[in-house]
Amino acid sequence: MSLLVTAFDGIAFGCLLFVLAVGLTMIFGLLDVLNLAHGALYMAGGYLAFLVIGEVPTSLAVFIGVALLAVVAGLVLGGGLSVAIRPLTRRGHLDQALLTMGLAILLSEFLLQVADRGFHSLAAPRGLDGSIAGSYPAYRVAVIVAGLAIAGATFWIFERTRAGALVRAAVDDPEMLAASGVNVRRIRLSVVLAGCALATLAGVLGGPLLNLRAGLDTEVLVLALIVIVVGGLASIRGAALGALLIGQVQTLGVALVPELAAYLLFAVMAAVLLWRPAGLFGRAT
Amino acid sequence: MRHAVLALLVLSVSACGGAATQSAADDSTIKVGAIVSQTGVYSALGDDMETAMKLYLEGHGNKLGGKQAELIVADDAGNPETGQQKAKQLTLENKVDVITGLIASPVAVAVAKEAGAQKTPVVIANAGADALGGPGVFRVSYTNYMHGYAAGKYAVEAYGKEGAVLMGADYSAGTETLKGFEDGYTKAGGAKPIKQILTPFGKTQNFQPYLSQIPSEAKFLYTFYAGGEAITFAKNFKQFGYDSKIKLLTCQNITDEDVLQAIGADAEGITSVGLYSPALDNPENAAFVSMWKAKTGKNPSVVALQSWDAMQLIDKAAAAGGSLSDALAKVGEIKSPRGTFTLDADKHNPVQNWYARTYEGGVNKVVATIPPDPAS
Amino acid sequence: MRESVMRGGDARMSRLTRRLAFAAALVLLAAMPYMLDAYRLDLLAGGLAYGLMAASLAFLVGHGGLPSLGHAAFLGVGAYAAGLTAKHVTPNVALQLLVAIAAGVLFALLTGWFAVRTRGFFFLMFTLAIGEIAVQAATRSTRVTGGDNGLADIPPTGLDVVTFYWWALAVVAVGFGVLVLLRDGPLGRSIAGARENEARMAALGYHVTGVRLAAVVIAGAVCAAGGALVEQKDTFVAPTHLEIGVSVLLLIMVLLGGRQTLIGPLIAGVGLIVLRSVTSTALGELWLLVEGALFVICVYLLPNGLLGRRRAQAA
Repeated sequence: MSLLVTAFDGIAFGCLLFVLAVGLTMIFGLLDVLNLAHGALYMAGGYLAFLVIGEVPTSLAVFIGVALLAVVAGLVLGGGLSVAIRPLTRRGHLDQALLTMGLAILLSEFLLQVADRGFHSLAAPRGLDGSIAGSYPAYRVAVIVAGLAIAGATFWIFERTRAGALVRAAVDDPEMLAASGVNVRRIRLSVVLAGCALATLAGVLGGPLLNLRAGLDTEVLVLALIVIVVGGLASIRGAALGALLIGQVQTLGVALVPELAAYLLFAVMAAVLLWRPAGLFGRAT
Repeated sequence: MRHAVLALLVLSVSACGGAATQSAADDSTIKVGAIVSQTGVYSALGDDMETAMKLYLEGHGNKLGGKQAELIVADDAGNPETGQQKAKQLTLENKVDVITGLIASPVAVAVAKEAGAQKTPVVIANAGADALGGPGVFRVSYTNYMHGYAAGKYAVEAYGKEGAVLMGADYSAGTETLKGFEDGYTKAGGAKPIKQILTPFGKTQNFQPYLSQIPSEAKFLYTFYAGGEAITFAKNFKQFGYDSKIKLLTCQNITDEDVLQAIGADAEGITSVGLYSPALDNPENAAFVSMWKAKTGKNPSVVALQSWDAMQLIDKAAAAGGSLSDALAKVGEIKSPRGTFTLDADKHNPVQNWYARTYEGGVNKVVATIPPDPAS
Repeated sequence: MRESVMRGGDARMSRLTRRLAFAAALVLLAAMPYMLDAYRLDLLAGGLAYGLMAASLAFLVGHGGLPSLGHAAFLGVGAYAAGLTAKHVTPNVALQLLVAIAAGVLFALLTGWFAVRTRGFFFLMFTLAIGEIAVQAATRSTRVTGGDNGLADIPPTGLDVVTFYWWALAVVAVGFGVLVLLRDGPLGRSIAGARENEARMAALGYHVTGVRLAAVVIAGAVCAAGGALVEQKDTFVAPTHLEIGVSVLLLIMVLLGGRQTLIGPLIAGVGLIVLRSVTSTALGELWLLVEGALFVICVYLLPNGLLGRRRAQAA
C-alpha cells in the first residue's frame, strides 16, 4: 500500500520534472542551444511568486494569476535570452554554455539580492493546502493535473497544429522552410519564449514542493539535464518519459533500495547512457 | 610574446590584490576576522551571522575589551578550500587577533587547522562537528553529539522508553546528532532505537519514500534536518498525515527562526530540543530580542544568538588582557540570552542548558529545561 | 592538412619564439618568491595548480573533443591519493605525487573505459554522473576519507611557503610540458584525428575507442598531479573538492582561456583563482555577480578565448 502511494508520488514528481525540463529540450531541439540558465529561470518564477504573494496561502485564483504573471516574466526573459544568444548561433554548445552560465549567475544572484538569501517557500493555494484522506497532500494531485494538462497541450500543439508542423519542419530542414516563405526566425523566437515561460511556470508550480533558496538554480538545472539526457535530448516524448522515469527513481527507487539512495539518480543516468549512448529516444549519431 | 605579456599581467594583478588591507597590528585595536558564507547554500545563515556580529559591535561602541574593534568579513562560499584560503589571508595579511564565524563543519575543520598553524585563536559560532575543539579552538555553539544527547535524555521522560525511530540527513552533522541521541536515550534507560533512516544530504526533495519506511511498531520519531531540508521535512511530515500516526521530536533546526516562516502552519505543535528560544525569560534575552527585532523585524535565529555570543566571548577575553588565546580559555561564565554558560576546560565546548520547545502561536515555547550532562 | 591549423594560435608562432616565451615566463614565475609575500605566493601556487588542471581539461575538451563535466573527480582522486600517502606511508612529496598520478591513471582507465562510448553532450552528462558518484563515494567512505568533514589529519609537508611554491611550479611546468609534447606527438595527432573524423581514423586502422581512452588517461593523470598539489598546499582535502562546481570552474577556465590552446586555460586558471580572491575581498558577496558578468562579456569579446584563434574553417 505505502509503495503504491510512493509510486503515485513519483508521478507527481515526474509531472513537475516534465514541466521543468520540456522547455530545455524544446530549445535544444530547435535551436541547438544548451540553455544553462534554465535553472535560474525556474528560480525566477518561484521568487517572483514569493515577492508577490509571500509565504501565506492565497486563493486558487490568485495563485493561478501569479503563475500567469510568471509566464509573462518567462516570455520577457526568453526575449532577452534570444537576443543574447543570437551572436553565438554558429559557435557551438560550449560557448553557449559559458554565456548562459554567466547569465544564470547574474539572474540568480539578482533574485537573491532583491528578495534575500533566506529560506523561503510558496504555500499551496487555499483548498489545495490540505491532505486527501489525511494522508496525501492535495497540492500534489493538482501538480499531476497541471502537469498532464501542460503535457497534453504541448503534444497537441506540436503534433496537431500548423504551428507545431512548422516547428518540426524547422528542426528537420530550416533552409527548405525559409525558401517556402516561412519566417524561420520567428519560429525559433517563439520556441525560446515558450521554453523559458515553461521554466518560470515550473518555478511557481514547484514552489510549494522544492522551496526557494540559494543554490536552487543549479539543483533543478542538473535534474532537468538528467531528464532530457535520459530521454534522448530534443524530443518532447523523450522528456516526458525521462521525467516519469526520474520521478520514479527519486521516489519508488529510493524506497526500494534506500542504502543506494545517494547514488541512484546518477547511477541510473549512467546506466541508461551505457545501454543506449544517445538516450532512450535519441537518434544515434 | 603575447603569452609572456599575459602572464606578466596576471602576475601583476596577483601582486596588487589586497595590498590595501595590510596594516601593522598594534595594541590599541583588536582585529576580528569573520569567515562566513556570504554566497552559496549556507548564505542564509551567513546573513544572520554577519548581522548579529555587527549588531553587537554597534551596541558596544564598536569596542571589544575596551579596544577599538575592526571586523573583517570574508566569504567562504560554503567551501573548505576557500575558507582555508581566507584564513590564510586573514592571519598572514590582515594579521587578525582572532578568527570567528564558521557555519559549515568542513570549513571549520580546515580553518581551525590553518589558524592553529598560524597561532591565531578560533571562536566557532556555529559548526557542530564533534571532533572540533581543543587548544586555541573555542566554541559557543554546540557539538552535534550534545545536541542529540540532550534530546535523547528528554525523550525518555516525555516520549517513553521504547519505540524510538531516528531519521536524518546522511552527513556528519546528521549521523553525529543521531548518535548523540541514541547514547542519551539509552543511557537514561531507553531501549535501543528500533530503526535509523538516513536520507541523502542536500539532494532529497521529497521525504515521503523515507517516511514510509517507519515501522508500524514505532512510538516516536526523532529527526535531524536543517535549512531547505528542514522545510521540506516538516511540510511532508504533516501533509502525508504522519502527525496523526507517530509522535515527533526534532532537532532545533527544524523549527528555527530561519525556516519557520517558510514552513508556515505545518510547524504548529512541533516539539524540538535546542539551546535557545526567543521566548526565554531573562534580561539578557529581552534586550537581545528587542534589539534584533528592531533591526530585522523578526525573532533571532540560533545562529544569530551564537554569533552574538561569539563576540561577547571575544569581548570578555580581550578585556582580560594578555594573550587572547589564554584569555579565551579563562573567561568563565558568560551571561548569554540563552542563559548562563561556560566552556569546558579541555575541548572548550559550551556547558549549557538545553530546552525542549514547542512551537505554538508563532513562538517556540519552552516546555522543559534539560541541564548539562557531564557524560556528554 | 587540418592537423596543422588545429592548434590555432600556437601553430603560428615559431617553435623557437614559443620556447623562449615559455622559458621567460618560467624565470619570471620562479622569481616570484622575491616579489610576493607568503599569502600571495600561496595563492599563486594554488592558481598554478588549477591552471595545470585546466590545461589538462583543455587537452581533453579542445584537443580530444571530449567535453567533460566531471574533471574534478581527478582532482579529488589525486588529492586523496596524495593525502592518504602522506598520512600513512611517506612524507616525501615526490612519492605522494607519483601515487596520485598512478591513482589518476587507474581511475581514468576504470571510468574512461565506459565514458568514451558516449559522444558530445552525452559524454558531458556521463562524466557528470561519474563525478557525482565519486563525491558520494568520498563522502561515505568515512573510515578512509574522513567523510564530509574532510581528511584533516594529514601531516604538514615540512616545506616552507617558498620551497613549496618552487615545487609546485616545477610540477606544473613539467606537467604542462608533458601535455604539449603529447599533443604534438604521434599519439596527439591520432587523438585529434579521432576528434575530427572518427570514421576515417577507423578506416585507417586506428582503434578509435582506444585513442579516446588514451586522451582521458593523459588528462586524468595530469589533473591528478594538480590535485596532489592542491592537497599538499593545504594538507587538507574534502569531498567538496570533487563537486560539480569545481568541474564547472575548470571548464570555465578552459573556455575563457581558449580551448584550442593549452597555455590559454593555464593562464585563465591562474587568473580566475586570483580574480576570485581579489573581488571577494573587495566586494564581499557581489564577487559572484562580477564573475557572472565576466563570463558574459568574455563570450562576446573573446570569441575564441583569451589566447585561442579561429580554428580555420574546421567545421
